[in-house]
Amino acid sequence: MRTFLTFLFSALVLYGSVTDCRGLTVALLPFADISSDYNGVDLQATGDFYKLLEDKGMTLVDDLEVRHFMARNRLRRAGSLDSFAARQIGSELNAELVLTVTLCESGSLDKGRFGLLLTAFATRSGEVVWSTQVSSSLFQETSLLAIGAPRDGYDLRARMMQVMAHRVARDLSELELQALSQRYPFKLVEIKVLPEYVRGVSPVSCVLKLEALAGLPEKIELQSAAGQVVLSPGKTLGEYYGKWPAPLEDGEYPVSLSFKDQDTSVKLEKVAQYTVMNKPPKLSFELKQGHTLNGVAVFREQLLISSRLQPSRPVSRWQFMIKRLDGSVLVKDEQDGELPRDLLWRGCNSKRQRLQDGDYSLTLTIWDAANNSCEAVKKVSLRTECQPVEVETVKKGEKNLVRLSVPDITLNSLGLTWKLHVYTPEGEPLMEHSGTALPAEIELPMGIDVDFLLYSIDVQDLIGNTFSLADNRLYMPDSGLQVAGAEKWSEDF
Amino acid sequence: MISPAQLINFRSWFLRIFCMLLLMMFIWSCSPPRRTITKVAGKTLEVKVCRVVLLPFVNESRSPQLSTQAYRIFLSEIVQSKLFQIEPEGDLRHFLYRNRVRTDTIWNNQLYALLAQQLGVDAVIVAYIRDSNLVAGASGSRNAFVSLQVELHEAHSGRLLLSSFLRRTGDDYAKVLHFGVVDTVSGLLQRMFLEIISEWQEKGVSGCH
Repeated sequence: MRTFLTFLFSALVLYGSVTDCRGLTVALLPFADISSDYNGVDLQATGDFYKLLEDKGMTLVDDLEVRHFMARNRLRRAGSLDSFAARQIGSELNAELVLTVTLCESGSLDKGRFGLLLTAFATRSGEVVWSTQVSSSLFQETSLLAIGAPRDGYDLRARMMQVMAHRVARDLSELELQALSQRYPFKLVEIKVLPEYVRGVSPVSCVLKLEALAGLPEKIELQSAAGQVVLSPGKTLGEYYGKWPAPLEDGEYPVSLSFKDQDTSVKLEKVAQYTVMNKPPKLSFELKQGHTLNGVAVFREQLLISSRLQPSRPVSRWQFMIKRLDGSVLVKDEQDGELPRDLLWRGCNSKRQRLQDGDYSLTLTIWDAANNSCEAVKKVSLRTECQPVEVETVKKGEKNLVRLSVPDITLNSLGLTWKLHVYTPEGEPLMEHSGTALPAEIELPMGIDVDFLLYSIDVQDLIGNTFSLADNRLYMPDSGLQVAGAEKWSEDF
Repeated sequence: MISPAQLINFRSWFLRIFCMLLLMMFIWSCSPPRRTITKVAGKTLEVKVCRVVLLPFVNESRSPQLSTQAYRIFLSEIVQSKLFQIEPEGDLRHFLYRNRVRTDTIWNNQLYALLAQQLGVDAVIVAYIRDSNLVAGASGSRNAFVSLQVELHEAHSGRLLLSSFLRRTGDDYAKVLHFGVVDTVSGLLQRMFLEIISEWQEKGVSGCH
């Protein structure tokens, strides 16, 4: 019973498909199978569909001829078919229509899903004139009592192909194939205007590649603000060359092409452009992860260098240099291409050895695409050690004071934070003070009758350098003993 | 005891309720799925759009082939609807190659203008696959769901004319029982594009007519 119904269904489909196609010749391109891969091709399905269309009485271009055409014209897949290639198929293979087929769901045929998408191009106009699609699954095709339902994915595929072949035969016979739009009888395969960025008066050249349906144009003229140039044919058929000097003024210059024959002239506007740049852009850079002091970036570990071009422009090469103040070069890095937005310098030389504390200059130079160069320079200071703080006792009138000071007062603006603990010689805490300003004076409690006290101090600057001293002696002013000096201090490591 | 007259009355009421339930089920099953959200950028669409080009889909899903699949299906639906004249995929790919424009480029006004000039189109369709995956369907099967955003831009200026957003699963098209459920991704995409095109027509996009 089920077999009978299946047969009946197929017979009905076949009966309905006997349609006259008015002798239209169709070029069927190999099926693009995008269900698993972008470049997938299903030749088996193409062959099956080819036979189905032939059975419907359609006139098809021999599939080998189609494949040879595709190979000759480097037409790799259905999606690459453009209006020019469609018209070329029309003139070379004498087809009125090109049919491209995409398999959307065949990768899941085992799961019982199948999808087909057909698109027809008219070879006279190169336009897409018809399209249809079908997709289904065994689940969707389930019917009451499973009457007429496909057995498996392959059965579903066969039925779908039948349905689509029927649609093609029916619809394509009714298509109106008048030219919808006037397209040029050639294809602009490539146009290169080099260099894209140029200085005024420098030479600019153009390379043009053309493909034509009938014959190449007799004369090709290139127009830009610099004037008109007749392109001369190259060694290869369809290639043309031209050269002219760039205008003096800065600006963007579009290029147009005119194709001239004895009686026809076609103009294509703005097919390419070049830019004249005579002045370099403004380059500046900002230093991050350090602390700016009197216009100099002071840092301890690393500096992040963020560059900025105003106006923004393509950069052909850049150079980064680190020099001592006497001009000797420590680091030089030169590279082609765009300038990175951020550069990181870890305070090392080219051999990745850490540099000594001191002042250096950073120089960043760029060359834009037209070879205009500009540079920016900034001074930096590498400091990996905190300034030592001197601690001593002084007498002012009757009061005993502890004085904290730094040897170089100018560097004090780095923002030192200090914390001082003073103990008795027996180790009992006497006082604790902290602050940010230096020099500082702190009054000692009255009535201390000892020759010396003990103190600990912790100092940290803004860029993270630290300095510590622990249990050092602080001689009282009246004791007449030696005052603890900075030269006797040692870093707590 | 129930008299024969009462029994007839009861049967008649039962029949009425049953018919009403059946009618409600019918109305519910035939009602269209959730609406597409289409926003027109201006007050009205004052731009005449006839020839369009469809840019490669921006695919934010995990299925790499979905963008090509969606592209061709949408192109096919536009051709079938006869709403616009569409630039072939190959012509667009050649434009992108010739002008060294990558498919993942963020389009600016200059690029739109260049496209308009070289391909002679009135509008550009920009589409995004926001998400796609498999979800458990009501019918027990694994159903695909797709989330799409489609925009229509004026070609010369790049100005946004209208934008549609919709998210559908195969179950959204179910009628009664499993009938109407869309089990294939391409089938689902086809239905979604049909919805978008019909809503664009409702919003005043007259195409070449």
